[in-house]
Amino acid sequence: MAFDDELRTTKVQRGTTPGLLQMKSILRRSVFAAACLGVVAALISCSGLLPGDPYHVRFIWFGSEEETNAIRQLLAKFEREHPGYRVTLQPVEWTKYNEKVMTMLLGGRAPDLARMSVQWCSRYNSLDALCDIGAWISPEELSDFVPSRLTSCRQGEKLFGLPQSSVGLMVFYNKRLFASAEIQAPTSPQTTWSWDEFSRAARRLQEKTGVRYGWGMYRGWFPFLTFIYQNGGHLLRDGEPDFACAANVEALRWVVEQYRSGIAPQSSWSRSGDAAETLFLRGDCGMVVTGNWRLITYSRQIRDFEWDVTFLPRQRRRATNIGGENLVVFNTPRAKEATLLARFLTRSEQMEFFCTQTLFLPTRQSLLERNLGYRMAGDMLSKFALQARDFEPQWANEQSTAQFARIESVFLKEIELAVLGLQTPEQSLERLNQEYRSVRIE
Amino acid sequence: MSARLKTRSVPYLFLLPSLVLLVVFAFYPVLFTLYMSFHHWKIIGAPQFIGLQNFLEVIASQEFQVALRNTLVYSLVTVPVGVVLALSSALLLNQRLRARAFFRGVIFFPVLVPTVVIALIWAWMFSENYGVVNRLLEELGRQPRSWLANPTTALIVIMVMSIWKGFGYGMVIYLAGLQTIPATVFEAAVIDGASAWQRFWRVTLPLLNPTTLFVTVISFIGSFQVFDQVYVMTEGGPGYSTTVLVHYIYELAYVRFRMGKACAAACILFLIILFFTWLQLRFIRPQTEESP
Repeated sequence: MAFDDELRTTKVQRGTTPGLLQMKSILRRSVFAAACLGVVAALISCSGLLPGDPYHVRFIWFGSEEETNAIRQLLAKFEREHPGYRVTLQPVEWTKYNEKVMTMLLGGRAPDLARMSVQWCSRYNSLDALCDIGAWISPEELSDFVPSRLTSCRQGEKLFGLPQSSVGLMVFYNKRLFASAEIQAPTSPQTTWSWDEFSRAARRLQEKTGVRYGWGMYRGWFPFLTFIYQNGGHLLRDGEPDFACAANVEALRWVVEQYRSGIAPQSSWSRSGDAAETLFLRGDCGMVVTGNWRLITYSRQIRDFEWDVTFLPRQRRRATNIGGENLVVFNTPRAKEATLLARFLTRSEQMEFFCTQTLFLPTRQSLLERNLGYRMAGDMLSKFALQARDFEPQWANEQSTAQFARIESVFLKEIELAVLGLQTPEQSLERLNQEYRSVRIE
Repeated sequence: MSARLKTRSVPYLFLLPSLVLLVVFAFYPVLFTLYMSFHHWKIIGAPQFIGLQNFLEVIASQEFQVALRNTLVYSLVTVPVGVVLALSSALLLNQRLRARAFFRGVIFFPVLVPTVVIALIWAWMFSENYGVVNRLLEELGRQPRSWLANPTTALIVIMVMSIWKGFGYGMVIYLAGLQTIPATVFEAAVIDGASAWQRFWRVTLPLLNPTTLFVTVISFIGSFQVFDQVYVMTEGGPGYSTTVLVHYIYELAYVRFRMGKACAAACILFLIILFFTWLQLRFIRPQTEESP
């Protein structure tokens, strides 16, 4: 007490009145109480204990800057046309996307709507995380979607999303090197190269121009499957894994040979190697098999040479691979509102805007058949649309099973092991059969 | 509330915030991991009890065995080399040298830089087509190599990077240890006619035993938990040549969504670290207690 008295005396001596002291004390306590209340309110709102706004849709999203800008404009339009609705867009980096969505699910805070790569949709559906939205959409509304893309939004009778955008594959080539080596790029899918002709052209590029690699491909199972299908191969037969069928073994053997002989960059199949797309960008690779998502980057970054796209090679048949993104609706109290938003975003007008701004292919047949006014690279995208016709719906089925999404990383590793010569193509493909069976049993 | 109770409860109130954090972010996840390791769990929905099946599957898995082997190789190389380098540099920089503080700073600097940043820089340095290492080799008339895309060299590059990044930490601990040794002990040894080597071997090293124990145990635990550099530089590849245990667990959990198996693998990793730590304490601690 003596100390307190002394302190008080000192403060009074400094010119502070006891009344002012009391006020300061009250003020301090009020600030402290307000801070505590703020923390409690924040914790409650984070825990989801407060009832949510029924017209507030939480939309998780991945995409480039252009894609995110385009979707923001469309969301603003949606909010204008649907008064009372509010959409919170949460953009997440692609490489961390699934981790983020899984963590949200684990925390009981699933998003209402999510942009999802086709191969991931059935994986989330198998977790019972997605909502059946079939009752809120009429069959007529679905009839315009490309069947092979709509397949990835269905599991049996259940419809859990709508296809938003598509990606396809083409051969990007360096026009300067082609001119130096006097090589003519194919001008139509019908007159495209066979595998041998393609390989010879790549070798000629190396010999005539001194370029380090003739061709390469984007590191992933997505372009690799193109070669499987071109050789008449498949992944499943009657629902059973058939990765090691003769056509697939032959296709993988040819691909491995391309890498082992130095025509294609062997190390580009490893995560730590220089990506074939980078080698192409820097003029060290004559051709690269990659998708339309590269159009904007290459347009911006390639300054030293001209480039164009041409059609994929063929073997027993012409084939390509089509992927893309769907808008899937999660099992949340706002599933109906999320469905309304998904329907809005996939309507012709919105889809056309999104695709022309971001250089994606539309998922509606009517738009695919039209010449869309892409803001750039329109000629190249017409070729992509033409090549996309060489894709069969059954291939979409086998790539969009829940099991396939779970063996995705093993798929890459097994191809890599074959390309590096650490095991035979047969061993790699047989291992994929085993892995597929093991995840199915689980 | 009685005054006695009030007095007794005060320390616990001070402990409470830390205790809450520990329970929520350490004890609960550990116990939850243990619980889930006995279950099949689809992430959503109720977990299904399956006994020891996850453990048996993990142990029988070829990938786990490769990951364990890689982790052991990584630990058995990086820990001894790191400790020797830390001790050597500490001994050197404990001398009266010009710019001693500068060199201490240079060696310690990589410890301060996030592993992800260093891993990215090293990945660029060792790039097959655009890396400085291959450029230097070419200047010397040697063939360039795909260092990180080659199963025989990828783990070596990661180990060299980890040693370089980490030994500065051990050096600082050793410097602190060296400065606690009384100068009189060395003076007595010099008077007794001990050579420089004898002074190091018979005086310095035994007196540094507690420091060595600390540095070794901490480095060993850290080496078994290696993840960042592997994830950034190779993602466990090429093939499975740099797959280590934590990366294997990460892949199981977040890429393949086999949460139960991932939890079982995490429990096995915990037991392995526990065993090796016990082993080190068992063999190094008696020497520590014997040292003067």
